[in-house]
Amino acid sequence: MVKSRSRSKEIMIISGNRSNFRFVTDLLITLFFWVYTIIVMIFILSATTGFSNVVTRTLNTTFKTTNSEVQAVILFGFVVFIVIYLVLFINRLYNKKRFGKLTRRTYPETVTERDLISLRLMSIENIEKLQSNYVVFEKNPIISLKEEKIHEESD
Amino acid sequence: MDFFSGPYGLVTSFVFWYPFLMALFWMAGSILFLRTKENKQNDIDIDGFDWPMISILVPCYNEEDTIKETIENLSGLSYPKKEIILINDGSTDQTASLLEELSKKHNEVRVIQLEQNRGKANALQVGLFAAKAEYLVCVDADALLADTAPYYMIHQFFVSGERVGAVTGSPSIRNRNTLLSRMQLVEYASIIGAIKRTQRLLGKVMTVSGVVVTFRKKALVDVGLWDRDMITEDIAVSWKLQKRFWDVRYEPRAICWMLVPETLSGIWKQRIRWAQGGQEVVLRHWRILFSWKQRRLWLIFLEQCVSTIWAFSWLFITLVLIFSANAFQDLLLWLTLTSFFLVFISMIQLFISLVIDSRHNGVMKYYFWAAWYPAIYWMVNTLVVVVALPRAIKSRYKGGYAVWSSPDRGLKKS
Repeated sequence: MVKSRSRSKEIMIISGNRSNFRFVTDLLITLFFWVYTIIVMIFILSATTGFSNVVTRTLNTTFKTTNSEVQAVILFGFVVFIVIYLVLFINRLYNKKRFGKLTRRTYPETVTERDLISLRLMSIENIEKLQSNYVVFEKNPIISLKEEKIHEESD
Repeated sequence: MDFFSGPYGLVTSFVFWYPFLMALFWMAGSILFLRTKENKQNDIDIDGFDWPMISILVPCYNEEDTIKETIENLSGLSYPKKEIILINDGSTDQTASLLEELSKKHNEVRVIQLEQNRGKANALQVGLFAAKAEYLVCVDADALLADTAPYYMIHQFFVSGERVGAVTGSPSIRNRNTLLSRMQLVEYASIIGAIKRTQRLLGKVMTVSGVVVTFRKKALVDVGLWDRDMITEDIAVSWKLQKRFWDVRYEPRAICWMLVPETLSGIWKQRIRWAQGGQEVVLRHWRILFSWKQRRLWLIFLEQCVSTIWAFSWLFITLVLIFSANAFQDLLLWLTLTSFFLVFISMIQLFISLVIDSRHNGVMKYYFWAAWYPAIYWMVNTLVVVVALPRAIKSRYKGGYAVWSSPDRGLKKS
């Protein structure tokens, strides 16, 4: 089992200074959006369940629509969701059955100095220099993009 | 229903149905991922496993505010065999002297000072050449790793992991004081989590999280390391790995605490960079569409293209609406039936995704701040994509090192 070794969230989360004015402003604007969101929710859920109320009647008139048309869109969305879910599920089953047992790669060997040199991005001297604890490069130790492009084109 | 009539009916339909159907797609994918993969993940036996050595690479560019805390966090991790490599990418502040100091203080810390700024991908490349380990944990200089995160990521390489080239962790936001940071908190936990889960289910992911990801060195060498000319090295390398059939896995339990911008300009710059990075990848790798072997990448490639087209379509329809409006009411985009449906489906998607992600980071209580999301997300996203596209084209045409500055990192700890 994973032992509880992580530092507590409280240490990670930063609690900065925020003015009350800013907090109240954020809260009020968010509440304004929630009022809008709740109206949306009431309208769509009421229309979908066929429950007529002031919100659905008013908005149906404004949008020139009816409950049954809203129901049709929601039902269509629900059917699409089920279809997507099934397609993804079948795709997963197919992949598992078709490819699951295959081992198409053995565990790779570790990278050797030769592999690094074969990249032709850095000189051996610089690679060796990089193994020390503290190293300063006045010039970028990796070849320039121009040189890299020349290498690619010559391959 | 008078939804999509008029001369622009087709475009209007696309503008409505695409996000509506994609929301259903991400929901279905994340629920299926939860049921088939996440629920079956057993806890790992930390003490009963011979953990391989890891090299933690931390590229630093002007990180004097955060680097000390990051290094203290990394060197305090319980992971048994590790080295920490700090690569100063030509910082112009006090980062260089701070790193020198830190290398003297912590035995496992090694410092590379690059006096020329050549971008994050270049710094990571230097780090790879310096690394002694086969597994490279790349962490941003303003991020803190949860103690268990390296175990969860490394473990993935040993669970039928012969094809695993990278394991991406799950970023969780530290600064939660402002409206902007809370909105991003909801976004990271829900939208990004849902997309990663669904893409993982399909076998390919658009990108690893640059803030926390573990690479197999062999895989990186195989693909020729990170692209130094791409603005988002994380997106670019994800595509290179997957094109060479290395797997990229998503490990939602590997939590990394990060800071997000808390100013509009900070978020704007960051999002432009992300969008530009996605578009640059599309422009570079379009030939995959002609390779049957790369068919698993087609879906995410096409999703990226269609999203870009959608942004321009949305902008077009909005402009048509504005210029053809006869009354003020016609301008109220949020008070249309299509907007109502999109808000409805977005709120359900956010709720489901947050419930799923909350199992790992307890962010459900921030659902309150999600109300903003459907109201402004489309607009911001559209503008970002529209502004980023010419930059991506110009960057592909011009070439050169992709160098950028980090956005603001939010409020300082009180």
